[in-house]
Amino acid sequence: MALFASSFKHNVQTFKKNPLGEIAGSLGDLGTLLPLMTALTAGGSISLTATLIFSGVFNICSGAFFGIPIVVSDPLLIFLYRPEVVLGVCSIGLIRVGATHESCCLYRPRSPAISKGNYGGWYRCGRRGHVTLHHGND
Amino acid sequence: MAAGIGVGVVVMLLSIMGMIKKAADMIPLPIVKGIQVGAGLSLCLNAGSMLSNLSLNQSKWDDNLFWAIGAFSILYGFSRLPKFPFALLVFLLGGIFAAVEVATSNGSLPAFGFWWPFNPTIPTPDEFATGFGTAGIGQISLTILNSVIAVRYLSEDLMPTRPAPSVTALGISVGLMNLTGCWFGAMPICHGIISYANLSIGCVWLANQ
Repeated sequence: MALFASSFKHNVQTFKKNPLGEIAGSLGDLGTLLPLMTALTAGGSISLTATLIFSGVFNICSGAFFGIPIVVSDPLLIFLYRPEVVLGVCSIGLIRVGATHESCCLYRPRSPAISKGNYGGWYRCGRRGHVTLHHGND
Repeated sequence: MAAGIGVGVVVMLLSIMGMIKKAADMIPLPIVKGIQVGAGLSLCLNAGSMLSNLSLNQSKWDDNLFWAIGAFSILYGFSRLPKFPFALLVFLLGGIFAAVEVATSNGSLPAFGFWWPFNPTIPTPDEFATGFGTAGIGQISLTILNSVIAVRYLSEDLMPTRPAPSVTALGISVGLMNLTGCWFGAMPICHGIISYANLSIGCVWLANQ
């Protein structure tokens, strides 16, 4: 209940500070939601009305409860991803942790500079994994 | 639907048993970040493939590369002004396009009416096996990583003044949402924090008009 009260206060303050920006920001997730939602509705897999009403209610509830911009979004894998991409990223990640003994600094998550410096490397690994697996399947 | 219900049950059980907390402690941060970069990249590729079907001179006035380039130029031009409500502008423009398109194409305009939610669509065992088997099982790992663990880290990074939600609370939330909506034909859903993928969103949205 304390979290809910502090979330409410924070939400009101944030909205007062930059109302147009908040409204614009709330539309940001539509870019991923709409293409999938319209495609699934056209394909007859989901009910559009039910999806709109339920995801609207869930968005309001989670925003009011957590007090952070935690959108209710679509599970990308079901529609966008192929499992091998996820497996590729995970396994290459694990191999790299094992091979380079990075784990000594990785297990301290509160060293953001080090982990963020790894972005480039991880991006390359993930991309290479994706490309390899993709071509392997063709 | 079936995939959503399956994922909801698994994530809910794992959260209640405290397994998500254990997984969050064991998974190194770069793997979580890697999954996020992959998600962002995949969205960019998706936006690119949508745009690749368009050209500058198309028979449809409201669906061509001209609008995509315009949207990108405005977004880029105002990048120094973070308070500029770009998404709102593009959304309103898209709404106008859609209204004109519906009104001029002899389509039926939407009408108001009441919706009765209690006509549940319960998946048959066959549907459940296919839905959960093909899409659901792969989704479980991604939901836990992207929608529970990554959201906790992102919340700490982006909003340090707010108490970050615990992974257990997020997991229960994801489970509850899927176990409520999916019985009524709603789309399976999960949590996420709007992130860098937004850059491409104006183009995606415009391309879908």
